[in-house]
Amino acid sequence: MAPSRANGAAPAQEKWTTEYDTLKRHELFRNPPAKKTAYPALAEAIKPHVESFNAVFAPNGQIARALQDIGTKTFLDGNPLENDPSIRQNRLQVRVKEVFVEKSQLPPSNKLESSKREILPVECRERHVTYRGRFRGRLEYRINDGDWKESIREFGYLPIMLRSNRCHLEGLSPRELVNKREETEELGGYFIVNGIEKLIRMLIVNRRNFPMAIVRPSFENRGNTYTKYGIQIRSVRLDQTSQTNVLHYLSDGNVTFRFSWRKNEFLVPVLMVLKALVETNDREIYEGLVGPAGSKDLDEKQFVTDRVELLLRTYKAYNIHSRSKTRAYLGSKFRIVLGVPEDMTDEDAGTEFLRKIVLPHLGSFDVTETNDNDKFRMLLFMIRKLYALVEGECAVDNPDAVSSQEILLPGLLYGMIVKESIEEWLSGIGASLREWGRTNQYPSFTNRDFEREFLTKVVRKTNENLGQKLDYFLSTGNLVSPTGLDLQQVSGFTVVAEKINFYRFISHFRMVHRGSFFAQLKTTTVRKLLPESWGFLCPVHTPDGSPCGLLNHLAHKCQIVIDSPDVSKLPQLVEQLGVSKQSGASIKHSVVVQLDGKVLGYCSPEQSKAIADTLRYWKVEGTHNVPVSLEIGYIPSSNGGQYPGIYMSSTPARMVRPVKYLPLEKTDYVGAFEQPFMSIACTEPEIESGDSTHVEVTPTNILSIVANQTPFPDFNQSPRNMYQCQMGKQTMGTPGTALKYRTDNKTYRLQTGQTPVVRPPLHNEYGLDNFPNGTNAVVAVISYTGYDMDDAMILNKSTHERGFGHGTIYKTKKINLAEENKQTRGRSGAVTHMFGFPPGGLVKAQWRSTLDDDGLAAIGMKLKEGDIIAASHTVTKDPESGEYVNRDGITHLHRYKDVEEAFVEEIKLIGNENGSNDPCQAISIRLRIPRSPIIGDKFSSRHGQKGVCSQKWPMINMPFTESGMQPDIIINPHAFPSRMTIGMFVESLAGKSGALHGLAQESTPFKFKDKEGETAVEYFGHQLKRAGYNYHGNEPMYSGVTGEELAADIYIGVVYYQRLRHMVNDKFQVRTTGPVTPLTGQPIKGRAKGGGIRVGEMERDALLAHGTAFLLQDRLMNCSDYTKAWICKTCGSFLSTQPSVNQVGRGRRGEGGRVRCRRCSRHANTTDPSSECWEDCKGQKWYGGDAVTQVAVPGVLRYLDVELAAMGIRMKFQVEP
Amino acid sequence: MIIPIRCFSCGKVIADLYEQYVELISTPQNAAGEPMSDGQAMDTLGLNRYCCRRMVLTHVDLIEKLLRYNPAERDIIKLNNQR
Repeated sequence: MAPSRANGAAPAQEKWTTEYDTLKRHELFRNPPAKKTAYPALAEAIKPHVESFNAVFAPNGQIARALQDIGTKTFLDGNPLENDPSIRQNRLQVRVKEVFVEKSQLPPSNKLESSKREILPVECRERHVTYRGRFRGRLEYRINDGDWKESIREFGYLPIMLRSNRCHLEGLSPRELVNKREETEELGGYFIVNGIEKLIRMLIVNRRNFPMAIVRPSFENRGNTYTKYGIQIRSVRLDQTSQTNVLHYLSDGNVTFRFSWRKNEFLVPVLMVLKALVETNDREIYEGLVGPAGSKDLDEKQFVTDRVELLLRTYKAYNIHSRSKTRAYLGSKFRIVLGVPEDMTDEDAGTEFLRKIVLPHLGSFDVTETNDNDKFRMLLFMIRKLYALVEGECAVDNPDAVSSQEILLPGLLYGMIVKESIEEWLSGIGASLREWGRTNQYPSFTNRDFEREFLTKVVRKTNENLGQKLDYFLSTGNLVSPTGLDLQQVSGFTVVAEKINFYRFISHFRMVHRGSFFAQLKTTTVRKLLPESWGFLCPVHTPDGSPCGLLNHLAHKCQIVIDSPDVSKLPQLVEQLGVSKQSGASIKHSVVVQLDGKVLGYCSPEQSKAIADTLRYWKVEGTHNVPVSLEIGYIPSSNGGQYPGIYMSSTPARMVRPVKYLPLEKTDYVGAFEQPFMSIACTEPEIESGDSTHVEVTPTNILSIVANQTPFPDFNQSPRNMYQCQMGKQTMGTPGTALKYRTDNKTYRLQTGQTPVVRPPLHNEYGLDNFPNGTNAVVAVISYTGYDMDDAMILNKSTHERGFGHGTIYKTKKINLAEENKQTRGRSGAVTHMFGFPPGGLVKAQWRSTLDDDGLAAIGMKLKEGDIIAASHTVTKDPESGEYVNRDGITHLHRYKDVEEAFVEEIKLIGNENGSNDPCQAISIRLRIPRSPIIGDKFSSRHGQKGVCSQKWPMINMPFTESGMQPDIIINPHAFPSRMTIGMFVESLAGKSGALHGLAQESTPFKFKDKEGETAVEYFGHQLKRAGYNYHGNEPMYSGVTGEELAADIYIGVVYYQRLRHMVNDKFQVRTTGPVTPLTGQPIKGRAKGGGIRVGEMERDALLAHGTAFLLQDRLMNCSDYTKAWICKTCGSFLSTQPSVNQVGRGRRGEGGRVRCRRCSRHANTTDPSSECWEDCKGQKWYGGDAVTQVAVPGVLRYLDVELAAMGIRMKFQVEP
Repeated sequence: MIIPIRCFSCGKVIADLYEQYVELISTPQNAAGEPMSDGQAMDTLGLNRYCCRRMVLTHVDLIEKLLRYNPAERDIIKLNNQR
């Protein structure tokens, strides 16, 4: 894959330090650089997304390979029902030779704009549409052996990743980006689908082309004699699609080959595959598996020899000899499954089977004899490993460790789906052909009619809109695929790139998910943090709760290899270093050397160490054509450990990270597979001579971007750092500066963001000052008013009034008249509505209180619930003048439905791209809700110390120091002992002294030593002392109420506080009376609907335990479904009571409306006194049943009675007195 | 965004000092032609308490950045392209 144009990911021009760099920052703000970004580390962080997408459509990239892999599809003519072998059928061959994806542009139908035809991402955001480019392909077809003819087909529109090589923003400098109305640090890596920013999440998959030893009890369910042992290899083709092959060990020593194809599983004896691959004999296979006669330790391999003998003997039963016969046999069995053309011979179908399914990474198109030989040798190796596993010679490979994993990159997944949709479409031509043939009496393909109608009648009938499939995938995250793409999940691939603040946003691109399949797993083994993850996945940055350990984040220096370098010289090199083709009998004497899942040869364990060391030296040195991104996985011989050998890989999607290689003092890139067997010293002093080959660049490389921002995390209890990673992402910060052009449903913004005093140099390196995330607050740790109990904190009222923590929420509402068109006029698309008041219609003065002349709310207007935000009217097109006229004069009003008061910030009229002159059909209204901190809002420091504002305490009553300062925030000292967040104390010290000296305090972990005189506390203590403050950070304080000095000195300092986005205004739930469920009469649930809060079982228990029976009655009955119901005292039933009806024609009033029990009454006789008779609604007269009374019961009780009655169960109540 | 008018904690008016502060740390102030350090500049401006000092010291003047996205942007872009 060709290296693509990097989005400013060039080497850093100038190193960032921890300093404030106020002037430099101002200069960058005022004049965004015209050449390249000032923050290359940011571009680097997003690289896996952008570059993997670039690789999809690159020349010789993923799609080009995929088209080769799809090849040609062949269809035959004639009626399939009357198969006459005497007639030679004609063949039609089709293939897609090339595809083109254009940048986003106006459709050709738009004739209005001539010069500037590009559609920029910002426009798509504002218009709530998809950022997409035209997708076309060159279809080629021929009949029999005629010439190829071609046709360019329109495949719809493909969503385009921002800043990729199909995006207008590719390679732009910050200044150009600003001119295109983007952020200066717009990173791309996501898609815009219907105006929402979506990204494909990175997913963990098994490492490619490496046979993994697996023990899985569920393997035993495959059939009789199947055991738990297996060897699994995820074989990846050149186009990055994969095929998993598994070898199963059967208890008698036999081995079967399993694969799944289009979601179905198949099992084949492994010997059949071996014999189909190459012309071989039993001896060759035997020696390949056991080792040649006379090799060392052969006599110890009794276990293997016995089983191989059985393996070879049992295969005799099939009685298939020679390669071609084996292939023909396989072909006859699998030709239907593979869907090969009908005129293909069985042998060719067998070859096709081997090409597509058996270890396709060693050749998946234009397969040569050498490829088949490679596959043969690899299969032999896999069988050897399987026997070694069963014998106990080697251990299982852990599929949950990063060493046996790689990343499914967003671009690769995107490309796979594109490939599959192209392939499906090509095959779909066959179905269309049959349909056409059926209606046209099966004409021959050589017929002139066919030639004429193929494109217009056959191909046109297929669904050529392939872009739609990607659109669906991106907007829902669901994968609709007949093959399943060798993945374990079908949904949850995409997430919304929420821009709550920059931490949240950047984390999305560094996040790696284990797969939703594992989320349902009851075992927790997959979630464990394993030592193999060191330096690749951040040990701190994972959410708590259900996705814990499944949703990880990459360490900030971890990179993903995208391109595959040239490794063609390696086999030769390895051979020169003494690798031979022939293997020995035992892994004690002969270990394998592999490159990208291809067996290069075997050598002795001593040699293997030398080879690995030599290659590593060359690779770092950059000589002998050994690329630096090559991974040299040297697994040494051990007693029952991982299967030894050298496993080199150069393929994409691997995680690598930079460390320093000691012999050359140069940067080496270490992969996840090789790392466990290397000796990498953590710091310089830890280097052990003769053992360590590498040393970490810095120990903080193991942390993610967000985890690195926690100051002094090494002083905190570890879960607190995890909480901070969570809360940093929920902070109400600065999502960006181009907010004017964004249309997120909800955006949070902090008005007075500051840069922290205490921060690591990485803060500047990642340009986080562009997105301030909190405020430096003066925090006193004191138990003052009693309002700071239980993690509550007191806010200084004047601080609040001066703007501390003030925030704003922006909401975007879209009003689309076109949707109303659809409802009324079907899908005709004709315009039936228009914004504004109908000309000549009545306009009430009351409406004009919020609306302007144009029928839209006035900018700056304060809106309450139910206020009108827009007016529209119906129109019809006048065919004569071509103008839209209103005929009814009725104004339709659109109202603001939210409870909270908001201001109209901006109204955008949304146009369309097709250049038609239709009136505006949609508007997008941005509303602003000011949110100054109020009681109940959540704040947190950067140490997992969150708290709720409990009071805004008047300044006059706040305690003050000797210099007259009063804290912004008071927190309770009890927040510390159990949580042990010493880092917060240190931050307080450092912040105070930093502010006093005008310094930015470096807070990188592991910088201070645990030695007397070199601790952090001493360092900052002395700094404080020099500024004239107490060494310990305490200050004497005076009570704000009495003015007396407090008995103890108070710990006070500057701590960076984040305002979290959880605010009471979004959460409070109050209800007196309100909507109820019609069925039971109980209040409905849900804050949005004005429902109640459930008094659940535990709350009930608590009320019972308190003996508060009246309250309990009040909650569960009176405030819930209290109903008065009639009941018959005689029969004890609710259901038999019914109201009587006024007798017709009788003057007597008062009888009607009385409730009687039908069950206890009988038909009235003539003898019955008419005054005691009653009439039901059918006019029948009844006597008796007047022993009814009204009782107060819960409404559900009646409902329960009805339900039980429906089952034939009668409830009887005794009514007393 | 824009510097707050007063120090959050003590209420000292600091907004007027910010431009002076930027001036002091950007232009040569001594014989050697070096601008003042952040701490010195704040001392000069009479910012004594650490509450006021952190206001000036850690302020991020995002308004400069926001001004790049001006409502009258089209003219600005035109100008930029000419430059």
